[in-house]
Amino acid sequence: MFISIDPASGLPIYLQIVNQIKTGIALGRLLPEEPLPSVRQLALELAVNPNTVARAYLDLEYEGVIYKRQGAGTFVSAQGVEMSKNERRKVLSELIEKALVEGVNLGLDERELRETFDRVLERIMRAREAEAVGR
Amino acid sequence: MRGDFTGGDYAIETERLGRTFGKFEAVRDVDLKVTRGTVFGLLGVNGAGKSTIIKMIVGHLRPTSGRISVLGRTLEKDLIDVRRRVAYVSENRYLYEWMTVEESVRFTRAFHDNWDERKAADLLRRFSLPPDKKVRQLSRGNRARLCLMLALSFNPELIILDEPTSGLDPIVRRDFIENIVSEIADEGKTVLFSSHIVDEVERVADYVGIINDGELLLTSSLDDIKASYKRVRYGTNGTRPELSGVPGLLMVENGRHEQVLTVKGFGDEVLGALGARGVANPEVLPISLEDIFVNTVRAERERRAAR
Repeated sequence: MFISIDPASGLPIYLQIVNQIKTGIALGRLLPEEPLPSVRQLALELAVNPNTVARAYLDLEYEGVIYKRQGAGTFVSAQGVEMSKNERRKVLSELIEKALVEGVNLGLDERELRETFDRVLERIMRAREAEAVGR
Repeated sequence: MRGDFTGGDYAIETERLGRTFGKFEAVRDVDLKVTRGTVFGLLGVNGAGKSTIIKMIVGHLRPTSGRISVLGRTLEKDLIDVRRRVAYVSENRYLYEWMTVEESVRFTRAFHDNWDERKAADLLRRFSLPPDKKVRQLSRGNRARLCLMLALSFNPELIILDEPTSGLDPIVRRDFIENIVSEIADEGKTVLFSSHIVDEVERVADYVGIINDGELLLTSSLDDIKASYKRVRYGTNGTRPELSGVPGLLMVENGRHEQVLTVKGFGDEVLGALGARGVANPEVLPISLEDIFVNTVRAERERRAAR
């Protein structure tokens, strides 16, 4: 998997796993119905406590991002992130607001903020296309 | 009174555990509870008392006060039974220099009727330990691997590791961590380990205890600790707010255009208090276990110095 853990980041490890799986889905690295590694596999791969991986999977399952099929394993759910469009927009607005406040504090002006936003967005879209071609 | 102390749900339970060496109080009033099926990381600087606590738990050292229960047993009555069910890997590895790897395996196997041949063979292979080599000829890393292999091969219910990776290279450390992870994943075992390496504790521990000068300063689940301790950052625009009265404030760092607070017991009251002091758009940041560890130990030292 593409997940990498940074214990020093301060963010709880289960949240790092949750966030990176969500990002993976958003970037198209993980597709609907794609199988995820078992708790044991991922725990060994990341060298983290299996209880931590289990907790991350439970959170993702609760949110509808992934689902378990009896005896077959864990999969990315077809709906992807099962949030209504409005909810998604709300979450996104909060994140962007945080980033923009940071930018203002750093002394960037409106034009520079817009340019940065566009540049980052373009990079993400490119990465997504590259993933799609690579498959 | 005695009957109350059974330690049933806990793999390890200590009550007001203490140990003195002459006038020196190495361990004081330690109440340690390690829930079955979890991984407990004991964090402390060298000389904090971690090893003394562990030696008492495995019965290598008698406490001067307090009580210990291991797997529901007391050490005075059931030491033999406890030794059969508990694996102990220490920094000073108990191996005979003149034995070969194979002889060490046979020697250890003789003490355990629950020895698992398949697991032993599997671990020997996985660690690529040369059976004919004498212990004295083994590298430091391979000695450590041999100790771990011997400890895991009799299927212990509880695994106690005292600074298991101290002085080892990253590859051997990874071997240790991966094996501990697979023990927990496959068989739901309980692990207590001590370390001064925060990264390691953070990766594998469910619960953390911070030891300083023989006292347990903090014991909690890692998730709870991370939920409670936060950093709050905001721009100051030249005027710094008056911070007295902000609840749980542990530390203030001043940047040129910003201030960063470290707060314990983070919640809405903290944000409310900051808002009332004119702080706009505070950003709440997670904090690493390393910073929590350093701040907790430092705060305790300052508290003592003030006494």
